[in-house]
Amino acid sequence: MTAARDESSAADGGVPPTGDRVLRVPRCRRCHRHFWYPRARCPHCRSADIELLDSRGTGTLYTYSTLPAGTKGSATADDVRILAYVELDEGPFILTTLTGLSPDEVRIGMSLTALLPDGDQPLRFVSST
Amino acid sequence: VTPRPGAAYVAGIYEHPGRVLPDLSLLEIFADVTDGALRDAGLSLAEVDGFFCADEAPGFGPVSLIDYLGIPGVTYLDTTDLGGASYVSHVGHAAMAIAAGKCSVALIVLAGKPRSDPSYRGRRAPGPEVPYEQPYAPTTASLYALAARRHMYEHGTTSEQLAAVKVTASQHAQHNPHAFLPRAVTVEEVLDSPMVSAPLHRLDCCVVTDGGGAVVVVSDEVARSLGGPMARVIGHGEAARASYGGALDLTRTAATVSGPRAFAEARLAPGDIDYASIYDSFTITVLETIENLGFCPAGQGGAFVADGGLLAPHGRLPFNTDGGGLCNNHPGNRGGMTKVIEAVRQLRGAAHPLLQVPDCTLALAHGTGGSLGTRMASATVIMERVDL
Repeated sequence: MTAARDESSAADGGVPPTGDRVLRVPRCRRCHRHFWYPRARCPHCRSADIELLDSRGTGTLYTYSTLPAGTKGSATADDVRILAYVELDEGPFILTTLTGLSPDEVRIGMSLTALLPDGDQPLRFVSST
Repeated sequence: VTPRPGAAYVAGIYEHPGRVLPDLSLLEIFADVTDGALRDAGLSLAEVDGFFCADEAPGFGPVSLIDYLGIPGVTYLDTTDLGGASYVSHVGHAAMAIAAGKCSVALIVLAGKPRSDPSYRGRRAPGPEVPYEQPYAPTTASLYALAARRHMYEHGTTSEQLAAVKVTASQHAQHNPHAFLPRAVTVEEVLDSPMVSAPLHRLDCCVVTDGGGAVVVVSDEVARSLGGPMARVIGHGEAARASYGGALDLTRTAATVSGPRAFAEARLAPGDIDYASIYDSFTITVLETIENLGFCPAGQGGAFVADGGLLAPHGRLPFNTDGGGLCNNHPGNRGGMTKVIEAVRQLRGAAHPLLQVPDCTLALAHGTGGSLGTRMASATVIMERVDL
């Protein structure tokens, strides 16, 4: 189970427990490139020397899709979900959901800020403005 | 036609006529399609020496299937699983195995029951990305919707243009008595159908059907013993595409690699193709694929499809004359098998008479597996009609 433990230990920093106030994104100490999702080997250069760096938690919206209320994954029956890919300022793209925005306010290219996991809620993003 | 050592031909095809099959087991469907394709080829189980299936096979996969089906003489096995692209890939792999002398009668099978048994998952364990992506409950449709939205943003593609893909598919499906959705629809009906994951409507999505299909690929020697019109495999390419932890481009699929490789092997260009089976899990899949394969420049897929460009028999690129996955059949949520089968029908001159491309000599079948642009695979096969 060594491989599994390695993956999860790399993962621990990527999705911080409730209470952490910063998003951490894995970066390779050898090639100095960030990546997402967290993993035990660098996908750019195969190094196993991975560090978790504090992210600015900011990025821009690459694309999104609104899913009607009641679709699988909705928190409540009347919750419209906005699934999104956000391009982090550090480089990687992250699959996430947007919150605090109505679908007609969403624009590709808009600036977004990470909202850290809270209770049952995973990492999400909100408008920076 | 001069004998060509190493050549491989699709000699047998069979598409299960069922679309909702609660009373047949998965294994019975495998048995039905096996019998159908061998009957079509004029071959028997005893002559099969190559066996190809993907991860929807239960138990010990190919070995469980050949045990159940009673195929004693298998000397070559391939269980490449590229999702819906698997069976297009298998045709290319079978041709290579035949050229290498590993087998001479290759049977490729698919069966699935996602309508009647949606919980069936085959043999897969979750991937390493799951802890980071599953909290957002991305559906297959939503991941393709993300690609559609980005394509719209970069190229000005419209929902009406995407709808045109479905409209053309439905105009073909109305001639197929087995089609799950046999009624021709309009652009307005597509846009008025419920939103599944914006910008994709319900009618932008393929059907969910039980069923299956099988294909038999044979050597030159076997093909000559059978005679008749044959679909010779003359080009094959496949490729995977991922984001590798970094950059993402949801407007490009692995077809940008698999297509040129298949065309190079066949010594052909996109303009030479008479008919194309294009993977159509969603309307956006077709739009990106025809761009990526080079049938039109990047970003111009919308204009290409909007004025009947895909309509058979006389459009610029007649496509999916069985109605495709969008209207006819998408057995097991895996559309590659039916893509190969309809391309062979066209080469045989056996498509519906109103949709048969005149003098169809060169056909392409393309499969797409996984999620557009992120973790996905493409397989392309080019076939030529040969009269033996």
